[in-house]
Amino acid sequence: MSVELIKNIKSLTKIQLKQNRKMLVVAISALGLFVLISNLGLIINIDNQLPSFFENTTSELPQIFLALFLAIIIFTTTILTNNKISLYPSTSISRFVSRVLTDHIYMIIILVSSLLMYCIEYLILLVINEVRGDLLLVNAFDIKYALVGIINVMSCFLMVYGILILLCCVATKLGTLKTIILYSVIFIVWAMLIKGSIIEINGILNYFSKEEILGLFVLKTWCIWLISIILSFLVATRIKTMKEEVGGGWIIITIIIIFILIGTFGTFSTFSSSGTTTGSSWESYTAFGISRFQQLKKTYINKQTLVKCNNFDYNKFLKLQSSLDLYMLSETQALNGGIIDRKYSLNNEILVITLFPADKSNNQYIYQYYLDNMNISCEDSFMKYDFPNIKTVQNLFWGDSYKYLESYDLNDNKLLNTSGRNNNQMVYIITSDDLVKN
Amino acid sequence: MGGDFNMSEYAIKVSGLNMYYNRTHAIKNLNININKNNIIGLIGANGSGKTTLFKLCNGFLEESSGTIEILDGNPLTDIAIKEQMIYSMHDLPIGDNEKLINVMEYYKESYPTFDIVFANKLIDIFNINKKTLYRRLSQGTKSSFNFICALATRCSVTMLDEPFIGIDIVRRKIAHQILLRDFMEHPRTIIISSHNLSELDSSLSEMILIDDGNLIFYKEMDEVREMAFRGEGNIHSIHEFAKTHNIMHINDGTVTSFGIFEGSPNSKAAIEAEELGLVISNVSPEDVCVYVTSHLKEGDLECLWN
Repeated sequence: MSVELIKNIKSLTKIQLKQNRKMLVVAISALGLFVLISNLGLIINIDNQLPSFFENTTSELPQIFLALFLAIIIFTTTILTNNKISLYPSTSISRFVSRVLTDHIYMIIILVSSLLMYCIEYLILLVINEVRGDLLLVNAFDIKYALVGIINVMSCFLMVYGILILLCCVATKLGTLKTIILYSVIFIVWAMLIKGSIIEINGILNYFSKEEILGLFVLKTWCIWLISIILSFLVATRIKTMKEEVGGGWIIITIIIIFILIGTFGTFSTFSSSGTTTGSSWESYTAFGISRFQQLKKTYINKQTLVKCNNFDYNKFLKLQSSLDLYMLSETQALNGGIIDRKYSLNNEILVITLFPADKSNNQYIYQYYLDNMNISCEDSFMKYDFPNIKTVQNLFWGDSYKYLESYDLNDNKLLNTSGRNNNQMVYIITSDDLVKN
Repeated sequence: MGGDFNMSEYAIKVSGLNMYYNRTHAIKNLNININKNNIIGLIGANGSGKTTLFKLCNGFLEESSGTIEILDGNPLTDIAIKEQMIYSMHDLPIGDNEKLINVMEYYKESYPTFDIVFANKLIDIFNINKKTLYRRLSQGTKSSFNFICALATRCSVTMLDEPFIGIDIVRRKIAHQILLRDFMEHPRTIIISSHNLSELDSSLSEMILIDDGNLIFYKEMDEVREMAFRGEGNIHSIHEFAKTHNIMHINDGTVTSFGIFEGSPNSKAAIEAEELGLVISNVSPEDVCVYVTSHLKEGDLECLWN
């Protein structure tokens, strides 16, 4: 690579950075606004009446970050048509390299801004907590989580960017019509392979999303990025001339075709997934589904609280809390289900087992606060059970990046409650056999 | 500026160039070697292939066949050559939200020879506000600004595609003066396409005429001025003279009749025409282009009213 070419790449990169700086500002502002709305939403949306244990702040931020960033790439200028730099001296190499450099510099700027926002968000959460007074901030600020989050988001970006730019380069090289035909064929073949169970789409997705070792995730994603960029470079350097922008009509046609294909794909994927879905919903557990309890025992038995209740009246025993799932078990059922140990004897007492999600944040069980402040008592056959109406707020700014940290053990975000009902929060009442009505 | 690639006497060498837009044959086997250090007019009717030729030279279009060399190199792959050539037109894809001052910065960033001081002086002369957004400019001001930037790059090969569209007559005249003076100060190859050849012809030293994708001629302006003469007088005398001389155009008017004949106004043929009673006068280069490329014959327009 000659000195002139390197200088040219530098010049074009500088120009493109300046040309698209407004979009960058818009993207960062949008992120900031999202963080702000997300946090203000805490004040507005948390239902004071229902004891919600977990509220997430901005857990979708990585996805939004990615979407915004890709939108910048797509909308600032059509990749490789380079319309806005066509006035200035360039070659196919300098156009490609400068564009890729520009996008990566944007990525770094946005990531640094995100880190700044993470710090600002922490301050906002502190202020909100001060105002409300009923929040329990968990994982509000953790620099290790932030760094892992940055690497995670960056790796995701690099992988998606690599694939996107490869697709764009091929499209630019082939022209609109040939591209639509090629991508349509690829899409249909892909859908057919999925339909025929030759390709398992979940397997491919899980290959990346379920990877729990950060190093391996980085290796996988960066390899894809590197290969895509090399291929893109090879294609791009064979595009000698600057291309005209794709006309609006073609864009509309492309979008329509993509929607049709997605519809087709959706139908295929529905066929292929039916029958393979395994029901793992917590709601399927019942008090008498004993075979399930072995699983529960492994994961979710957290605290046993013994309450003595002499005149227990089953008929008066109602659900204790509207948001909790309450199950009644006989001692035998509990023993058979592995809920209680065989050496254990109730001795005419009632055993209340409270199940909280065993989520750990920074080596601390999140439910610990609730257990420490929980009261269970039995008075005149009525069970009294309460815990402080404090809302736990988890700051999942960097999404599920916690999965790479040993000090965190959080469940899938979907299981974390934001609406009052929480499938993870259950209470088992275990009494002697004769107290259970068959 | 300069280097080994500037050794040739030609700024641009085009050989066997063809360009198709789908089925339209826009450039037809064009062969031309354009001399260095001249102001050259690229003249042709709408759709004759002027812009296509410019775009091919500048890598905006890929030729269907043939080769283009600029300063003895490939402008598509050699960045050193690219930095010595500029293509400018009245409506560049600058980006609607760019301020002019930023665009000038971009030019300075990418063209090593861009003279920002000169550009700023021109901006003042044309009374343009540098802080204005490009999209807020009128067509004339856009043209002026693009012309200023292109001129200030001082590129060895400067291609101006209809640079004066929309500019008022006063500024157009100033622009012509500046163009000529700057060329004298910094000689280089400047190729201008324009419809208004009468304004330009005093500045031009050479002229390329293309029509329907074909090269009609590439001549020095003096040669063009000697290409034809006008003989005005009796229509019978004109027809008589046309029997022995090549006639380009004939006009049988009710008041006056004239013929445009090939040859210099000072040629022997012109003297013969004079002897037949015709009044001889020069034909301007613009009119030469009209008569050479016009596809209308005498009386073709009459059908509009009959």
